[in-house]
Amino acid sequence: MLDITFILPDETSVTVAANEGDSLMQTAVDNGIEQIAADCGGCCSCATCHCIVADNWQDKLTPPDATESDLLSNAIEDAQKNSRLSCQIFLDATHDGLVVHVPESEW
Amino acid sequence: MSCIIIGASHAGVQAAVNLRAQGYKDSITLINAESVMPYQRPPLSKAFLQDALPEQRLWLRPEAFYQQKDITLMLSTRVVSINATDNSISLENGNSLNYCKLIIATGASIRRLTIPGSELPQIHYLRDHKDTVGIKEQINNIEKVVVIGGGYIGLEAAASMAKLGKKVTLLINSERPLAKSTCTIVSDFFTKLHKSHGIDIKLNTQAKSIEKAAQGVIVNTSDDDALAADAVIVGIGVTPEQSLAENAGLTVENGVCVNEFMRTSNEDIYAIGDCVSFYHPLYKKQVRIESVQNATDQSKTAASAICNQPTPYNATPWFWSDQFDAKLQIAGLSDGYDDTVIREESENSFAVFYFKAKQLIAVDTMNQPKTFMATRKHLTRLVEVDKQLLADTNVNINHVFNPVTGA
Ligand SMILES: Cc1cc2nc3c(=O)[nH]c(=O)nc-3n(C[C@H](O)[C@H](O)[C@H](O)COP(=O)(O)OP(=O)(O)OC[C@H]3O[C@@H](n4cnc5c(N)ncnc54)[C@H](O)[C@@H]3O)c2cc1C
Ligand code: FES
Repeated sequence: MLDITFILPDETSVTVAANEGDSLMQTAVDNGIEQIAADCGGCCSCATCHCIVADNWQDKLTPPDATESDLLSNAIEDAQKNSRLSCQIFLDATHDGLVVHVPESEW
Repeated sequence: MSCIIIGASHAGVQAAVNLRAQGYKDSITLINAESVMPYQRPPLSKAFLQDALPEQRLWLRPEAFYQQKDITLMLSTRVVSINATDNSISLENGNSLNYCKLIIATGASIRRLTIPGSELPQIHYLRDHKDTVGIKEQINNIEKVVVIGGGYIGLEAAASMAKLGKKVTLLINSERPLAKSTCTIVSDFFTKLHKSHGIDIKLNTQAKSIEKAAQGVIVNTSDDDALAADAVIVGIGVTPEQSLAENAGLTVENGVCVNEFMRTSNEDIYAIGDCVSFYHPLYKKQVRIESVQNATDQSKTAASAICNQPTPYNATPWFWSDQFDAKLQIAGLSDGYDDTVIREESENSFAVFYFKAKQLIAVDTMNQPKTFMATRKHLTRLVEVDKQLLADTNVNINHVFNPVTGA
């Protein structure tokens, strides 16, 4: 099990136990992080699973592919450089302790 | 005080989640006729059929979630009637339950074949978990499959079966696939795509009858072909599951009729998702929409109204379909269009914009997610858009919609 911390729009933080191999989106949905709507169930079609990954974790993540980048840059009003679609981040042992910010749902 | 939700799928489950998120304190009972944990339907014709998604990943929420949120989940339980006069429902097992507020989220039921041979065990549908499981159980015995229906379900089923190495014949009773839902360019793209993966597409062709053969079945077509198959998959549309509402005296017309707060003609009864007919404020007409977006967004509207924070429904419809490596994304409703504009980056990446009376009403994008997103974001109002700029791939799509700031 991995510890993953979600920082919600009101700045409260929630730490949950995640399974290796699950996506960050799945972890959020399973644990009732409702700002992650994940309407398309993780097939990179909807961008309703937007999150922002803390700076110091960037080197542990596989960079976004073309579809994810295109969705992000056009979907999110203020897409930040650390914006990601959480359904495209798959968790492994190196992600234990990961901290992600969850913005207010835009949809 | 209590809320009962009939139907625990995309609409019903999300309604329960949203009620809690909006601070609903009283009991919530979520009832479903199916016996399995509430699950996502889109993968039933895609990843789950292809065996690329494990059972548990199909679930909308893990089992523990419902307990944590104090949501009572009653599976294998069918509601047989709504008694609107005394705010109660009757269950198939003879029990009845009282509600303060009721949400009908009964979805849609598949249309069945009615031709001779329709009852043969080789005939499959794709709506429920058990349907896909039924095909998967037979998968090793299937070499040849006939798919009937040229809508999304038929196309996705054909693509998934071809991906699994099956020999697929696809019967479509119109001149092109998706004839009712999209324009010729998108249809032709799919025809070509499916053919390139070895699928034999027979257009303007109907199944006339199906007979039992020594091995499998024979599908007789309107072209007088006799197609041997080990399995037949049928995707010929759905009808709204509105009988409970109708028998309770609620207004129904191609779905349970609701107002902008998803309330039916009865003050205490709401309806959401595939089973609902509603007036779309953007398109100014009565519609019934079958999509995950529609189910989830309407669940929010109903939950807000029940929690005394009514907000009228006005979400822009959107939809997706994945077939082979092609990603189709749709925003808006295109029916009734009178003009189209194409934005083509390559043969495999294009968008079709639909116009009606000069206003942009919808877009279909093929492998062009950025155009989908930009358009969906701007489709909260119907406005005139410069058609030449839209067609020009050298112009950033965001600049087309917002020439001043490019935001
Ligand atoms: C194979 C397939 C692929 C799809 N792909 C996509 C896609 O790619 N993108 C997309 O946006 N949409 C897709 N859809 C459509 C989407 O799944 C539906 O729009 C969505 O499921 C609608 O949700 P719902 O909750 O309104 O109804 P449903 O999902 O139909 O659920 C209704 C539930 O109510 C239960 N029920 C009905 N009557 C009773 C009763 N009397 N008592 C108790 N329970 C009852 C039913 O058993 C069912 O579980 C697909 C659908 C299918 C079948
Ligand atoms: S869940 Fe839809 S893009 Fe991530």
